[in-house]
Amino acid sequence: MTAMLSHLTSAMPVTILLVDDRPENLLSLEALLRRDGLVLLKASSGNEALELLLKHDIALALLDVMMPDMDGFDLAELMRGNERTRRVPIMFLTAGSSDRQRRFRGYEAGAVDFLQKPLEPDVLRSKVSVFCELYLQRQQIAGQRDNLKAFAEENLRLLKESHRNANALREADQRKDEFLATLAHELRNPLAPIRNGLQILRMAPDGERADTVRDMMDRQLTHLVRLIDDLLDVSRVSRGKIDLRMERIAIQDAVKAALEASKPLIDAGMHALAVEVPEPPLWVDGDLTRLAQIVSNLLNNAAKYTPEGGRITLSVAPDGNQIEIRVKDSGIGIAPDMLRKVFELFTQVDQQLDRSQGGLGIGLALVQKLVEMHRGKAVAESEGIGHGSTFTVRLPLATEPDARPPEVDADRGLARPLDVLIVDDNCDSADTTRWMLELLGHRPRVANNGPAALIAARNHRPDVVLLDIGMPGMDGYEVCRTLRAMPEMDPVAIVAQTGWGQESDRRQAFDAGFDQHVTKPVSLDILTRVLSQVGSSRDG
Amino acid sequence: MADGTGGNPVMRVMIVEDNEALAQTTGWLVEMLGYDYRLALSPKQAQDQVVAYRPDVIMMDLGLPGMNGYNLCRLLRKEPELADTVFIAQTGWGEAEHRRLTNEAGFHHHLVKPLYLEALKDLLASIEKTLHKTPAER
Repeated sequence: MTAMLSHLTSAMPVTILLVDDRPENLLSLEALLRRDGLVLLKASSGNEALELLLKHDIALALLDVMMPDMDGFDLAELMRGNERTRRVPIMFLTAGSSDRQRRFRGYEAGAVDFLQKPLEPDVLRSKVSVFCELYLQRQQIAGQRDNLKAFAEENLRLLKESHRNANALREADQRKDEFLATLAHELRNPLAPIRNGLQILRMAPDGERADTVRDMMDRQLTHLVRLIDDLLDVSRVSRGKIDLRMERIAIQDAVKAALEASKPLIDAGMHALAVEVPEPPLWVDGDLTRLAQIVSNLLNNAAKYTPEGGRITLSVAPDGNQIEIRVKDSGIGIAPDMLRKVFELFTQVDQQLDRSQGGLGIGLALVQKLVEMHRGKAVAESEGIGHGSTFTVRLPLATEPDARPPEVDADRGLARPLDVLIVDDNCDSADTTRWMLELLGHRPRVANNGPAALIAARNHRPDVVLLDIGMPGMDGYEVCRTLRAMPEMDPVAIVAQTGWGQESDRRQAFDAGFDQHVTKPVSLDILTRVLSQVGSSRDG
Repeated sequence: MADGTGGNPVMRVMIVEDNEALAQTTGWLVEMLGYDYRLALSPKQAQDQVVAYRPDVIMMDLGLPGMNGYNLCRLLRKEPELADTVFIAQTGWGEAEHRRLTNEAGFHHHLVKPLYLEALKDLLASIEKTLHKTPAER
């Protein structure tokens, strides 16, 4: 019995109500029943008992039958009549013999048992413990029911959440589809004239028009490369993988580069551009290329969203410990509800303007991210549709550096003829590189896979290996490592050529033993510079 | 080849395209194929020139500033002088939905950018053949 009661202690406490008008009876009952895990409440009258019953959750009530004012049976009947107490089991304690009729009335009132005074301690304990067990089981079932209910609610919540997520995904998916369609369209815009140009050159390869066509193709290709660079930037931004090459620079240098980059678009829109930049250098800690990109993207944006012949003002001014760069246009303006959204990726203000300048809706998103990476802030303002827009970028002002680092001029001297091994599985890419190198006066040779490259390198001992990274079978890293493992290849300069221009790719290339890393497409200028560096280091 | 000496005038092609590089190179291609061309860099330019130029063929981009190609086509098809003009939609969008839309707007043909010279050559040649027939022969 004790064992049975004692195991209750681990669970929640069980409350038992003891009702007797005689204090000594209550005390002896309490003494008999006292156990860990049992809470014994005592009442010396029916009214007191009712009060306790309403306040506490009672597992069992032990009622003395003979009490003044309200006897045990009256109390039991009142308990039956109350929703809160009607299910509390009642055990009557009777003094002396109780006749059948009285017992019957007791059961009618809801008694579950009668115990004869003087009480048998073991019998009492045993019966009480049975009711305690019952109570606990009931609690457990109620608990399980609550758990089930909570579980069902949780399921419902998860279901709703997954619906929400599915909707968000669908929306994102739709935005992605729209973006891909726009992207395909934007890529075709420069591709179409390039193809036309090729066909014209095929029919009429010489003459003045051919020169014009080639210039046009060069411009369109530059535009195409720019689009793809922007795309890669976006992917780097969204993965937080843009590397800034920080240095202390004058903001004027970035502005100058930006103006150069954006001039064609501003001229094409026949806009009047006013530039208000102070003479003394304003210093900032940042990446020159990225700061120029910020300003240039803002200028391009102004040029795109301003009808032909508009006004664009670029002003730069110190403002306390900040530099304020402001691009103001007389363009189509921005609706108030779009002001916050213009910096979001793939957002494009619905435009009735020239579709061929549509772009991808990533320029301003890049601006905001790049500004934040420079610990600055970008804000858009507009008086509304038709009232022009103003974009303001604030960057922390830096102090003047002790001395400007001397400008290093790339050695543009004529390269001495070099033996160059070009390794690329893309034959077109390899052949065009070979032709460019021949035109530069070098002696190029082509291998279209890793093993062929190793054989060619062993047989011909090139000065330079231009190595593509992404090749099937043996990739560029492996070719490079194998070459570096050959002592006779020690003086060979190995240059990685890849479509991936990220800092991590560069590091991986240098780890594999590459001397240089260039990003495709490689222009004639870069090729010349890289080879002249190799040539001069060989000479020295 | 209609070269202007065989009695029939050279077929006239108007190119409506806001991407200037694309307009100019398409024009040169059309010229190299032996036809006359006129560029219109906006719907307005097209509307201003179309009656005076009386093109036999109008090649039109769909995404144009001010007015899209569908609406411009509908408008031009109403001109009595252009009753015999063949309209070609030239677009970066090749999906069935866009073909249905160009068809509905009154275009006779739909070419997807970038343009294949052979496709353009064949299409213009077949249009040229029908040009100098009497209405009964068509």
